[in-house]
Amino acid sequence: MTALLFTLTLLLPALGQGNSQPQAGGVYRIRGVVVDAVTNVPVARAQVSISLNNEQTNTVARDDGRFVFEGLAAGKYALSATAPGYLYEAYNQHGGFSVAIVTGKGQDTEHLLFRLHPQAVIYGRVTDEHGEAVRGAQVALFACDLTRGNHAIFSRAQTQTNDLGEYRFAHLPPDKYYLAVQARPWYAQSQLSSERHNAGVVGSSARSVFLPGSGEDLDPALDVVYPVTFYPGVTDQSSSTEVVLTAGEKEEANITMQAVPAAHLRLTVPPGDAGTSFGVGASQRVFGAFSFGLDVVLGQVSPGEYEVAGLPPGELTLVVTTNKANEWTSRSIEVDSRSEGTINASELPATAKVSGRIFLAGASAEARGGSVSLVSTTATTLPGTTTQLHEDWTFSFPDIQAGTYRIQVYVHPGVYYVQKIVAKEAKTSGREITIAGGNDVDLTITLGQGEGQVTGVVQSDGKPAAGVMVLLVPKSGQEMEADSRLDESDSDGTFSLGEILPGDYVLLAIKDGWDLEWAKPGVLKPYLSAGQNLLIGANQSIKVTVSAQGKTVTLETKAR
Amino acid sequence: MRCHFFRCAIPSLSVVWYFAIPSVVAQQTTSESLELRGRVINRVTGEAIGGALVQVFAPGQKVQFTAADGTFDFSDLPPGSYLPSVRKPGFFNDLELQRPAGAQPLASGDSEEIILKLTPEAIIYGEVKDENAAPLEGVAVRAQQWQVQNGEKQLVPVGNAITDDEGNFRLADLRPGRYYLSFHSTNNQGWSNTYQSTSKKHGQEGYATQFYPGVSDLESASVIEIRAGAQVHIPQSLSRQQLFEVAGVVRGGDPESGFHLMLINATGDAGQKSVRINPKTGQFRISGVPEGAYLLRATADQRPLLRRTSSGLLSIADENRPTLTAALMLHVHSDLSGLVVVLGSAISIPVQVRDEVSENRGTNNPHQVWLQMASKEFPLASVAITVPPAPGGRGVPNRFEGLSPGVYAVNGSPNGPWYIASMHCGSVDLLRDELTVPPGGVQPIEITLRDDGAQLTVKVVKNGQPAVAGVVLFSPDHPRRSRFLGSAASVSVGSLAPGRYYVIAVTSAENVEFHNPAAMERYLPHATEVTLGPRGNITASAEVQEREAEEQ
Repeated sequence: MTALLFTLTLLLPALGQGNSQPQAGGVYRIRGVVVDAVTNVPVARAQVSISLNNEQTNTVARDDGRFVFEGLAAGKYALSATAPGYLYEAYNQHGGFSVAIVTGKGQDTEHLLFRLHPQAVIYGRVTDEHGEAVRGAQVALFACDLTRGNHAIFSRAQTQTNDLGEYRFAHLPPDKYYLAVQARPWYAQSQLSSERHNAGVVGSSARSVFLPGSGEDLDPALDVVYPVTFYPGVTDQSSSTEVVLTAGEKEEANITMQAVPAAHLRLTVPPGDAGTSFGVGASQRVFGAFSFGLDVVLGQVSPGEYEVAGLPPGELTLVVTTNKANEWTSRSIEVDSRSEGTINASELPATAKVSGRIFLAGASAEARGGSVSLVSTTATTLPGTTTQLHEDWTFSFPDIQAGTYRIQVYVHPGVYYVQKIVAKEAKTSGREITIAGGNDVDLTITLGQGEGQVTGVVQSDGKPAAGVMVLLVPKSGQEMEADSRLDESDSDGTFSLGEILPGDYVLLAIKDGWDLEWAKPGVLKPYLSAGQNLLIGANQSIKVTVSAQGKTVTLETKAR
Repeated sequence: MRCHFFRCAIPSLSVVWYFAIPSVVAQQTTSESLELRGRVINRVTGEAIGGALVQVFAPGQKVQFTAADGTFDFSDLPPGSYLPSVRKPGFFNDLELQRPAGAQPLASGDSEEIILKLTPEAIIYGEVKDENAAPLEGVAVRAQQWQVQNGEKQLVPVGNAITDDEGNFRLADLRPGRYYLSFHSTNNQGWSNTYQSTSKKHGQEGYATQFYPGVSDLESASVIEIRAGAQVHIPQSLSRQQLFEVAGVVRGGDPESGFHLMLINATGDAGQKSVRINPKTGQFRISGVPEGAYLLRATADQRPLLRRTSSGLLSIADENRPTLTAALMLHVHSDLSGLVVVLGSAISIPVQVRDEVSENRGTNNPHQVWLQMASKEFPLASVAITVPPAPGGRGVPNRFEGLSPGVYAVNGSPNGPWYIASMHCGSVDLLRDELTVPPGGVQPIEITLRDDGAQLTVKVVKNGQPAVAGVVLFSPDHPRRSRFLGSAASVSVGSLAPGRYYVIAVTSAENVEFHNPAAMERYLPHATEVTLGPRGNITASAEVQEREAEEQ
């Protein structure tokens, strides 16, 4: 089942919460022992929790690791545990999935072995070139992990250094980690190189700062920045040293920052009307997974010419926001602040008007309205672009930059998905469109209604099997990451896959298949023949029994 | 003298003060240039501070980092007057501590060394453990201090930290003073710190907000007094206490759109561990509530604004329908059930703004007042509106909504050339008194704005000489009209309501509790009394009063 790790928040919106079954009043028990996953020694006084329908009950295990929940009604309970120095973990957790404990007649729920993994910790100190602590530095932790069937670097956590320059990331599972730090020298005073910049400044974005006075008197020694720095102190992301942590390992990773002269860019804009204002924001993307926001200074050099100062050297994303008569438009520009001197905002690639209409398949009488979103798959620094559907189900975006966008449509009430896109002046691929230039784009989007569901039992040697990876993949091999559905079988072998777009699929149950890069072409090939073909229709609910197959040792996995 | 501003976080008022200090001109007569050298030391220990940034404002050589022995040496400065400033992380300079820097020698051409002093920060650090000496992670540790802000004495958070997986916390960057420490256990990583030993009992235990040294209310808390440079170690052990359940039903909501519930305590923290709601029946159950006084607030949107999708919740904006609210004050010392919360029952107070334009209708400004109702019991649950709403501001009502019964201070600040001539709620003069809102609500707030305000210029003097100090304008008849005018040798302010005032010049005037007549009494004997008439223009001088030692 899907791990219910992060469902408790201080303020839960009321939507979607059903009536809660009281947990008390039954005759069943969940009983077991918590052991260290590395040493197999019982973990004393672990905090153990079960939850049913979002209602959580907690207990503390005894010194010998034993725990018991009594008087339980029949049901499917999520089980999780933690202890100081250990991960917060669900039972047999794999990624976002775990084995839920099903109580009821004939179910053995009293001999559970909960293997709790000791936490790994990365800690360290960020210092400057003089060996002094860098306070308030932003430290970002990245991990290379298998998500949605692909190995990818993703942003795992962020923190800030304290007054000693120290940071600490605890509760880490064994993994390959990377660290990046962004900070501003405490003595830095960003300044504009131009002589006349303090007249006629017209507007600012949230991150822009205007110099109120003359900057020419400031010492250039203070016009410095720290480039985004990777462990152990390099500014090139590809030379960053990875930190490989095993369960329970504590690793010190100290990072040294080195101040460098700040970069300056000139920005020319077409002479605007009196009512036009604009602002510039800057950010730097790291590992394609996280953007550090940067402080910048913006000043006017002459009418139509601006200077952006205080930038670190390197590849940056500038977002130029223009406000004309209360209408905001944003342009994202990728620049290399080491080489670019002047950016001409009027020579930026033209934007396209993207308009179109929505067709609803099937009954749509109750559909009242909705919205269309274009989510850029390349420039993630661009603000999200969403527009409301008009009453005649048409929509229009005035200024869309060239690029590739995923199309998302929300119609309420009801459940719809993007079935087909026909585009003029844009290329389509699945649910993505690629806009090349300034020609207006016309879209016809057909929505399908109703998602399917597959439930069932995984069997191995004729008996229900727990902890098996259950994977439903499109038969076409297209949109593997977006359209595949994944689950882990629970203690009674059951699984549930929901929100399935209608179509042809293959259902697979693979023992110990959790480290398969299944979204990569060819990886699933050895398993497909033993899978079950399923044609899933709109709103269809299919119940199946699937046999677990063992993991095939392929040449590729042998080579690792 | 030419003004230079720098971009770091120095409050602009202090900058004015800084540059308004009468310059002592150190002329070097024997040569074309002069040398400025000195040392930076720790004010408390006298130790040299290396790596500090010393800055003088002159063309040419302007900044230096001190050497390991704290020394700096600016040579070849053009003759003139200089006011070197110094900064370093972990230290406060005189500006940051609002200490008068006048005692410093400004510049000199002779060989005398200048001593610049930095005051070290204080640090509170420690560990939070449970009753079994196991570390408690995710406890929010907050340092709070009584401060006067905008004329009101308030408990202000000045430092925040969250305990790490070993229970450690550090609060740095603290100025010398008296602090309260509070410990608030949060839900860390979705793990709630509540325990239920068996399912037979409903009794829950958990950690409530505690103050150092382990008490539940501020009144019994101990003050931690720290001096400059102090490193105070606070090991704190939290004990579990019984938690209660608050249950009932919310009526008047739309089952399709649901509602939100929030339980906040007097320090503004969420008071519950989990909220369970059935949007169809309106039934709710809030569990894990420690003993104490709470504000229970329910809000509901009147149309389905949210749709559950695989990617999370998407909001569809619809600003035109107002939100329904209800607010209830609760005193929890046992399980509470059967509460009935009626949406839309929260008190709303309409606001009527009237303007009395004087005969010279030169001003074309639309009148607008920013209004705030600050709750005395739940200071963090204040509500602010702008009346009338800005053109184009959709769905913003001309009223305060979602209020619970209680005592409020009403603050108003008009735009443009307007001043508040009167502000009443029924018979209560809101420029003088606090407003007690009973469960049945109160009459509308009526505000009259006028544009014939007076202009006042204040010259600060000390022993007959111009001086720099903070200036407070105190209205004995309408204390809530009192204002802090700024810190300078001379301040000028317009659009003042006609009437009788006291002009008070005092160092650290930002910390004067000017909305409290009792606290102001001691300043009045040495204050300058002025009476402003409509469209009057008065210049007054005010003698600087020294403040006594910080009161608690």
